[in-house]
Order: sequence, then structure tokens, then C-alpha cells
Amino acid sequence: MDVEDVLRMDRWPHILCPGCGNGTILNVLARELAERFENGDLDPDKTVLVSGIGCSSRLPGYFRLDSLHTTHGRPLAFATGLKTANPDLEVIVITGDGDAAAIGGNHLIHAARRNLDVTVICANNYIYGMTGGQVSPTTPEGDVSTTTPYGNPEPPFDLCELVMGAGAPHVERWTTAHPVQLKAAIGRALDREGFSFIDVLSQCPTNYGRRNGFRDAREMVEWLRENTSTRDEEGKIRIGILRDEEREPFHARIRKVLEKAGGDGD
Amino acid sequence: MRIKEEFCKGCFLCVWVCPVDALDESDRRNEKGYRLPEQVGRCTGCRQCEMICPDVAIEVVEADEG
Ligand SMILES: Cc1ncc(C[n+]2csc(CCOP(=O)(O)OP(=O)(O)O)c2C)c(N)n1
Ligand code: SF4
Ligand code: SF4
Ligand code: SF4
Repeated sequence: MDVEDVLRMDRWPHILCPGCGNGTILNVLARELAERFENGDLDPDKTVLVSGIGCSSRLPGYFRLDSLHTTHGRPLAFATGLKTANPDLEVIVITGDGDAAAIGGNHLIHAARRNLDVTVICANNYIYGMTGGQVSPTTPEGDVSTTTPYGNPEPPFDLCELVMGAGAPHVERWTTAHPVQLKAAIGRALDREGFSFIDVLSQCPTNYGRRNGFRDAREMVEWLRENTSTRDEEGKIRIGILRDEEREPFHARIRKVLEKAGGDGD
Repeated sequence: MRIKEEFCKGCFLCVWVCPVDALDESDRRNEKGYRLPEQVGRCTGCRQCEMICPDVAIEVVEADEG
């Protein structure tokens, strides 16, 4: 199976801006899924993509798979019902930094705490891209957005630390400048049972880059490559596998409750 | 390698990622007016351009001279 069999190529070219990092995420996710469908590791009829609202949340609509394009901040709420009622589904949540950590912040920490068995791919472009470039909970301090024209006065969330603090067992951070590693990380996340979170540092050249001194998408991926490291290095953002553990997932715990309560678990 | 020109948006992330400088910006444009990349050197077939392309516009067939 080829990437073009997984994607709805009749909808191409897609709506994302030139050089948008969301496109690279779409690309590597499609390739990882195509490989898994091909070798039988995953069944396309049992694979579901769930997203909220945002440019990043447009991605599921480009896949030839069942998908839920939900309300802003709520993909994990929908995914909780989907996975708990249908534990045999492979559920992949695609979300943005605004979707996941601002309006959806509570769903994020509780899905991590419960260890919901889903793969979360968070396209973290430091901004609300879709609505024109408002500040988000991950916008770096001092950076310019339409709502922080004099520089962001707030410290940003480290999304990986946030979900690890809430109990997430598998957490990785990569960037769109690392497509090979990102694809492998998605593979690991699909293999793991439990809450897998991939923080993908990404570029929005249109609504973040041009306000913050980047001339184009190339300068942004260059920055991502130069300012990240798989080792703990002073002044660099740590990328790589940040936690890789196992913990009983939510749907298995719920099944036990149902058995205790006298049902058959279905 | 093959560039599906009708899907390209001229971001040149493919040129940026190629570790052996096998790609470069060209002066040709597609129908939408986006400037296209072109192969200028030997490709090792590493597929990084194929994977980074936000528009899924590149297909690496195998290592070749172009
Ligand atoms: C309840 C609700 N509030 C606000 C909005 C407006 N809105 C749409 S997308 C968005 C932010 C998207 O940012 P992010 O999740 O980071 O995704 P990106 O567009 O950057 O990929 C907002 C605030 C909405 N659609 N629904
Ligand atoms: S506005 Fe930003 S996030 Fe949205 S498609 Fe354009 S570059 Fe991508
Ligand atoms: S990365 Fe893709 S869209 Fe960008 S210039 Fe290269 S072929 Fe075109
Ligand atoms: S596949 Fe070829 S053209 Fe593409 S990045 Fe690798 S060496 Fe360069």
C-alpha cells in the first residue's frame, strides 16, 4: 500500500499554506500508516483519526479512513468514548497547541491521568494558526502575536512536562525538521498501549513566522534543527523519547469495573 | 525522483533537507505560479525530501543521477 492509497488525493492540493508544518506531519503519518496497513500491523477499518478545530485539526479529512472532526478542544473527550466503547479500535488524535492545551487543557491532563489508550499527535506551532495568529499556551515569552503585539508576557507550557506530570506513560518530542525520527516516533506510539503523546514542534510561517523574524518556512525548520537536541544541552529544547513506560490503560480498568458490577463487559 | 508539479507550493523544504544538495530552486513555475524545485545532482535515495514535503508532492523512485 502506498501513501496515495491512504490519502484522499482527489482533494489535493490541500488547504494548508506553503511550507506549513502540519503538512509534514500529515505526510509522515500517512507513510507510517501505509506501511502498517501493508504489512498487516494495522487494519484500516479499525483505525480512526480524531481531531478538534484548527489548521492541524483539518488533517483527518485528508485520509481515506474513518474520522471525527469534533469541536474545539474536545477531540480527547470524543476519543475517550470511542476507545472505551470500542477497545479494538486504534484511535489517533490530531490536535494543535491551542486545541490541546488552551480550550482542551483539562481533557488533555485527564486523558493522560486515566491513561486513555490513544496516540496523540500535537502539532505545536506556538500559535492559533487558523484564526489569524493569537497567542497560545505554548507561545514563547516575548514573542509577537496578534493578541500580544508588544511581546508575550506569559511563560509557556512545556506540553511534555505537563502530560508526564499528569501520568502519561509514553511521551516524545520531535520537530518537523526531523521527519524520519517523527515517523519512527509515530510507529512507537502506535505500538504502545496507553496514552502516547508526541509533541511535534512545527512551523506556521503565515501567522507566527512572519511576525517573529522568520522570512519563510525554511528559516523556521532551520531554527528547529539548530535549537533542539536529543541530549540535555544548555539553551536547547530537549527532543527525543522523554518517557517510555507501561501502565494499565483506562479501557481495561473500566472492563474490570463492569465485570464486578455483574455485566459481561460489553 | 519525481515532483508532482501540480501539488508543489514552492516552499523548498525539500531543497533545505537534502543532505547531498541534489535539489535546488529552479526558475520554472507551476500553473498556480509556485516556483518549482529541480534535481541538480546525484540522489542517494534517502527519502528525506519525500517525507518533509508538506504537500506530499515528491516521490523518490530510487537513487539516480536525475
Ligand atoms: C469553542 C470555540 N472557540 C473558539 C474557536 C475559534 N478557533 C478556531 S481554531 C482556534 C485555534 C486553533 O489553534 P491550534 O489548535 O493551535 O491549531 P492551528 O490552527 O495552529 O493548527 C480557535 C481559537 C472555535 N472554533 N470554537
Ligand atoms: S495559518 Fe499557519 S498553521 Fe494554518 S495552514 Fe497556514 S501556515 Fe499552517
Ligand atoms: S517540499 Fe514539496 S511543496 Fe515544497 S518545494 Fe519541495 S516539492 Fe514543492
Ligand atoms: S531522496 Fe535524494 S533528493 Fe531527496 S533528500 Fe535524499 S538524496 Fe536528496
